[in-house]
Amino acid sequence: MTGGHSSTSSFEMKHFLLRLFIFLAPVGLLLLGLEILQRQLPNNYVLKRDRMAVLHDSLETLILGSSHTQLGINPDSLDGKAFNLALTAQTLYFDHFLLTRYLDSMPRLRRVILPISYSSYAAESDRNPGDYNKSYHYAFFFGSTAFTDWYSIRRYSLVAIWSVKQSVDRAWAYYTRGDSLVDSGPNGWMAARDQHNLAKNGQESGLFHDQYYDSTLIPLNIARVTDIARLCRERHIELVLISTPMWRSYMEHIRRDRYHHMVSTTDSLSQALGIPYYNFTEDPRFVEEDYYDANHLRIQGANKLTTLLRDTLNAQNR
Amino acid sequence: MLYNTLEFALFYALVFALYWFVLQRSLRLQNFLLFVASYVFYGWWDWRFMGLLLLSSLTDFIAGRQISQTQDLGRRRMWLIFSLTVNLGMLMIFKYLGFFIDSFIAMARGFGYEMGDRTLSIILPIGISFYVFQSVSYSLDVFRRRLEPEKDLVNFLAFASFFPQLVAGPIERATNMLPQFKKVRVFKEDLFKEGIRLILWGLFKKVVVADNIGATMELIIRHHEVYRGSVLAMGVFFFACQLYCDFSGYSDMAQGTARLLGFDLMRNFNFPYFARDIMDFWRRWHISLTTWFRDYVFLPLSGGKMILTPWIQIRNTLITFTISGLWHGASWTFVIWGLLHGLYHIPYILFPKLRANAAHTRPPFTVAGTLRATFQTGLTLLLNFVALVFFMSKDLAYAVSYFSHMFSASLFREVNDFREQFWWLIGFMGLEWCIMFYKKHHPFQLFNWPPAVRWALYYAFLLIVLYYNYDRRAFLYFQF
Repeated sequence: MTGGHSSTSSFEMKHFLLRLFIFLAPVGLLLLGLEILQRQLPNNYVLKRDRMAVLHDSLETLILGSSHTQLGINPDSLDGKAFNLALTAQTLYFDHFLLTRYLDSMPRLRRVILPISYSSYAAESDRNPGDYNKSYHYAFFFGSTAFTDWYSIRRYSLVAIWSVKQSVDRAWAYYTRGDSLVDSGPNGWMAARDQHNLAKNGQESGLFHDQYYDSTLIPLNIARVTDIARLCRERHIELVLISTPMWRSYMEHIRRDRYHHMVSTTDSLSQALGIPYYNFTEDPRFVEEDYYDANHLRIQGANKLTTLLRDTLNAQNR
Repeated sequence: MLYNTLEFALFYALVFALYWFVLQRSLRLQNFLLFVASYVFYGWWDWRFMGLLLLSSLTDFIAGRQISQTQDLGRRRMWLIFSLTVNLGMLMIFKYLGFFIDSFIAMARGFGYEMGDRTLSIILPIGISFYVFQSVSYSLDVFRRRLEPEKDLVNFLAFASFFPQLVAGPIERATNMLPQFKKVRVFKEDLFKEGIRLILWGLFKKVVVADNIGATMELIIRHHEVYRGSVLAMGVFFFACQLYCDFSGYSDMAQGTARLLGFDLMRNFNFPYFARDIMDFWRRWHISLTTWFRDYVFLPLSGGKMILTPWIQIRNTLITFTISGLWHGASWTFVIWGLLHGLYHIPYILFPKLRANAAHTRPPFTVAGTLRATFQTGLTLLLNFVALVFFMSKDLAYAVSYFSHMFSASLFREVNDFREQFWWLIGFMGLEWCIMFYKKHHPFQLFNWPPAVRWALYYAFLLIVLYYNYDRRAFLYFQF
């Protein structure tokens, strides 16, 4: 069966599409302008990438992990030159990825600090819809290809990663209010001054971390930690596992059995691999004033944790 | 592949270009392209489910041919049963098996038999309830001799998988769609413009209204115990708006995208929240499903009789709505939602005069007429909202908890959260009322604007859609 439309209707359609193109062209140009603008703006990923490019030769300690260490460990309070490469919601996959990426360019590195949190073993970067875009951040800024699709526009566009709304809001905040858009300082540490409502936040974040907890991922993430340990051992670098302090409202809203499983798994790994593990999760030395929210420390808490960690490591090495 | 993503825009642009500029001289090739594109569209979620879609389509194609080729009623019935068994069997396994096993175990436990936890976890193929119902209606219509079976496999596969309406309807009838697959499609500028306007309006409803309110609803649903009763009551209104804008937004986009390919899909929503009784509501809400249940469940239950006793009508209504509830989801909450809607029909069946007083007449422009119409609309909404609490609850315990927190002393306290969203939604409903009042489909039809104003309006809507297109929630009805 054959069909088709007349040359008149074909002409009409081309005319119609031309008008549609003329209508859409300004919107396309607007989006292109927004994309160019976004690439000029600072952000945490660019900061950490650029600082690593400058510091890698001199670094002695590298801090990996998620926001728990991003806020919780102040590199300046550690001995020697240290940098905090932790980023919000960074999973063990990307800890492994970043370490592999930079390891051979850090000749003086002698210690890596890797946090293990409640859901570290049971998380993956493509599971939580909120964090799914994280993989595209690593693709865009660090050249990762994991958990991303080559055909997705998010591999190539910051506006697509952040959305038009966030891109406009960021540009607006930067140019009109002078907001920095970067949470971390030059040493990679995010120094938080304020404090949230710990009770409310504990409930929300506890439930949130349970929401995407996937126990089938545990073997995969244990293998990642084991491989990080191997990479460090081969280069005579000390790997230190830590769990950062959590406020009681957070602990009340997570599943206790899962928490104990995380601790016992890390203890077993620590013994099997011969690496130290320091668990500060319910450490009574951390009081309400130390917390930014129920699962993150603020400045005084971070300084306390870093000092404790430094002293412990020094005592261990003596 | 969601409608509101760049992936879909690029996919659609490619299909559109091939369809109108490369294959425009061959209807058969155009249909073949639609078939391939639809499978790519469906396989984007999970390629494994393409097999199910193909199985359902091939079953009905073969069954339709076989039914029409014989006059032997026994053989005709056998092929119909084959079609129903394959289609409904698929639905049963992928959608209901886990639910029935869990319910059976719970019932046995109630009688003191411990059977352990054998919860099945089967992934629900997206849109299965929609395409299975569409396919089944084809076999039933061929069996009833209302439709000649389709002889061309490509046409049939393109019809059964037509991507604009594949995963969330409208559940089209073969009697409406198959003739369109055989007709040469000609470009008509007015229809195309209308298609684009429908897509823009659908995007606005989905991205700006439904997704924004969805974020608020997530908070309310997750922490309902910390909110006042008045906020929870408002939450049900929010959910009603979210559900309507999400689903009718999808339907508008489906209509628009189909129209750009030269197809005319049925209208699925007609301002349901302004219905003046519950029967009127069901004539306006998810129209393709309501008419499907009317034609293939309610009327067959009546044995073809036009005049039924009230008690038979009530029985058939309750059965139909309970099945309709179950169609929405394999959960007791949906069963109760459906049953409640069935129960709401009873006064109108027992007292037909009530119907005449409500929806069949336009309210007179008098104070009394307006007040009466407002009362009727308000009552219908209220009944809807009560049922919606079950619809939005993950289980019965949650629904009970939501009701108990809502109907507490704090129900009469001032609303202290989400007031801004409430007023935005009231504004949106006001706009919807205006569109309905002027008997239009979307706001771009409301006035005969000069071209410059019209373009400014389109730009404004497009930029608002782009700005708010960040949450990218899946359409609520995809899960059904």
